[in-house]
Amino acid sequence: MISLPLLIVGAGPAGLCAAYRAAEAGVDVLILERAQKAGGQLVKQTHKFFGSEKQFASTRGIEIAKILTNRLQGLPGRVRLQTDATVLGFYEDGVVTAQVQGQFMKYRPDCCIVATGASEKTLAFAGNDLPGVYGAGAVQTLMNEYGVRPGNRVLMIGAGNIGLIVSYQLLQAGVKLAAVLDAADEIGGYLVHASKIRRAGVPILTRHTVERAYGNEKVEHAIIHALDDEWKKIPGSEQQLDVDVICIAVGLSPLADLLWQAEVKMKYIAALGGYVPLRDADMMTSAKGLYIAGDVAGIEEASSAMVEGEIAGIAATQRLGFSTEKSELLKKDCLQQLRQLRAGPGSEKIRTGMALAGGYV
Amino acid sequence: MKTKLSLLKREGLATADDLRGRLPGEDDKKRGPYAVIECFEEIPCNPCVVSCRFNAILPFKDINDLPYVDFSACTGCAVCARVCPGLAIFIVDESMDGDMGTITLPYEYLPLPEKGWQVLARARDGSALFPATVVRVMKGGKGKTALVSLEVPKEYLQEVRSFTVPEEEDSVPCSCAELDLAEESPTVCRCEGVDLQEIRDLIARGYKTVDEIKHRSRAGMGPCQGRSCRQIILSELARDAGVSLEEFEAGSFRPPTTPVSMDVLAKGSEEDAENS
Amino acid sequence: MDSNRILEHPILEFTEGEDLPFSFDGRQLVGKSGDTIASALHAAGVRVLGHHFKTGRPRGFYCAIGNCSSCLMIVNGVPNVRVCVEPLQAGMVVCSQNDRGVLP
Repeated sequence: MISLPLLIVGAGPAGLCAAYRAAEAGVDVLILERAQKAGGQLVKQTHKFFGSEKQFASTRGIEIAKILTNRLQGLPGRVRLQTDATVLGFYEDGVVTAQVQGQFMKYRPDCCIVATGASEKTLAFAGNDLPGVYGAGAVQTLMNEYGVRPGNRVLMIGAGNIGLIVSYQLLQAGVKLAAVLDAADEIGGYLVHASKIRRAGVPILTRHTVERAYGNEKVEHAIIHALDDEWKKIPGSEQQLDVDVICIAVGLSPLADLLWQAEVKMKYIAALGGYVPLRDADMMTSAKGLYIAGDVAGIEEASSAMVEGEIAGIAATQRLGFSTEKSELLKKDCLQQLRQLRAGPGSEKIRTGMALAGGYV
Repeated sequence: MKTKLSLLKREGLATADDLRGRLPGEDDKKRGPYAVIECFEEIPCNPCVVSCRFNAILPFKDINDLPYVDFSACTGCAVCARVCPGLAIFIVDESMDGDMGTITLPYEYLPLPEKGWQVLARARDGSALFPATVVRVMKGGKGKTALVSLEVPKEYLQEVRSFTVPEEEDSVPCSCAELDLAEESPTVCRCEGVDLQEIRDLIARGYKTVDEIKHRSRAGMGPCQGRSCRQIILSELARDAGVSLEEFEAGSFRPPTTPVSMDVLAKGSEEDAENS
Repeated sequence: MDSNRILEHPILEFTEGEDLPFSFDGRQLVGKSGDTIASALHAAGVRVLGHHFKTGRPRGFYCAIGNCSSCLMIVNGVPNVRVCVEPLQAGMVVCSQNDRGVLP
């Protein structure tokens, strides 16, 4: 059993920012990251980020991952970044178990920040289990981490930001897109992303869904159809597309298994993507000393994940007694940044969701 | 019947309506190159306004504000077009004499053309317009987007928004073969091989919680711990009960979050025993 | 034949890794250092990683980050290996898995 002041679960944008703020104030931090390298989903993001300078706007996600990781060196507190380390369980006595490079480990942290991110939602349609039906994250991983094209011709399901961004990345990797579908009647993602793939000649079909995937042992074709105002199939609107990949980008759910195990108060909030922990303005859950940040706290952009991480990092530091005068000012600035990021008309859902979850609005 | 959504919201296609107020007057057009910013949605993003050295983008009160160009100050220097994360800024120059002008487009595909290449100019919807000559190329980089300038007839400067380097045409998307496919139920739990029909049958037979369905069908008991199926089962339960998802228990979550080999667990407890 | 490999990319740089030979169901394939087993198989054109023990339907990977367990295979005799997150090593013996797995 290892006792330690601060354990952070997940080295994505939220976890890395939390570690930075904590170590900056002198707290020793252990980050456990399941993957082989830090950065979370940032390592697959080839596009330039939105936001302001404070959230690294107009820097590509892959570069942000490097910046966030490199700045953890040489701080007053020591940051140990342990990759290939999966947290297995949270127990009621505050013990956390993990598999760290093939070894079973037990930790008892004074404070813990859970920044586990999200998992992809799936979609029920006939043939949805055929090889070639891939989650959008998988397509990104294959393409942008391993340099392997997922297929030759892709049907994208979902015109939210992930569907649109991955579509663009596919085009950049030289893969053809048959179409981008969305059941909603308008594009869910940023319109500038939609315009980019539209001017590459890719059709965006709103009010459409995938009916079926089929092929011999793997995806060879897809059947799609249009939906009426009651989301019912419009008879005769079926189209067959010859594709070898159907990419599913129908949204994310917070990956909150550990928080359920920790028995913190959870609430289903559709606007935040599913079950999320209730939290206060410091990002602390109903369990004292247990904080959350990033997509696990509600599905949002990476820019807000970074700011939430900073807030959780500062708040945990204060709880551990390492508070400086600077801490409170920094936290105020972060809250101000969050408010700005969530102020636009497109963020109304997030504002509603955050109000229900008890978060800062 | 609700009002029809704009092409912009349905397809990301800007129309003349959207472009109103985004283009300069005749005097400014003659002065030199200028930026056309096709950013129509209030999202938190400000690199364009921050990067402009000429204060030619009207200052933001809020990071979600829309960018509007002050054409009397804009020099068409293209710094904003290089940094715009949305690749939504185009530089138009119609100040020269004659029928031709230039349009400068952000470009993040391969191959990056070179000066003098013939490319196919395309419209906002990707439709092919005409062959055009590349007159200038600025390479991209880590945080910068490559910019490619094409010479096009002045009357098309507000139409051309994309181009492709000619290649073989893509095959026809629809094979339209006659299909006779047997009915098939979508998979809900990939790990344990449980389909939607099985879940619906169980609900009809009176299994009304995630855990009851899990115990009966094994859906959610596989190595992924219900990460793929739980959300679909919850939606089915909610639909059956005619209530929103908020009213359902998510079901139980237990360690471990991921499969662990017995070997790893056994070694871990041996060490514990030694240390105690 | 690695026609699925991206050799040039407008944003990313892929340095070509060293060759890692491995076998898949008795076939000799070659992956690259930095690959997972799943990415190496995909690059070699292998989509079907096994068949489901109950339904017999073909299985491929789905999430590629170790969440969904759709990609279980037998690696060096050990069943239920999530090949989407398992780094490829030279000489690995990779086999399709069509059952729940038998302890080695």
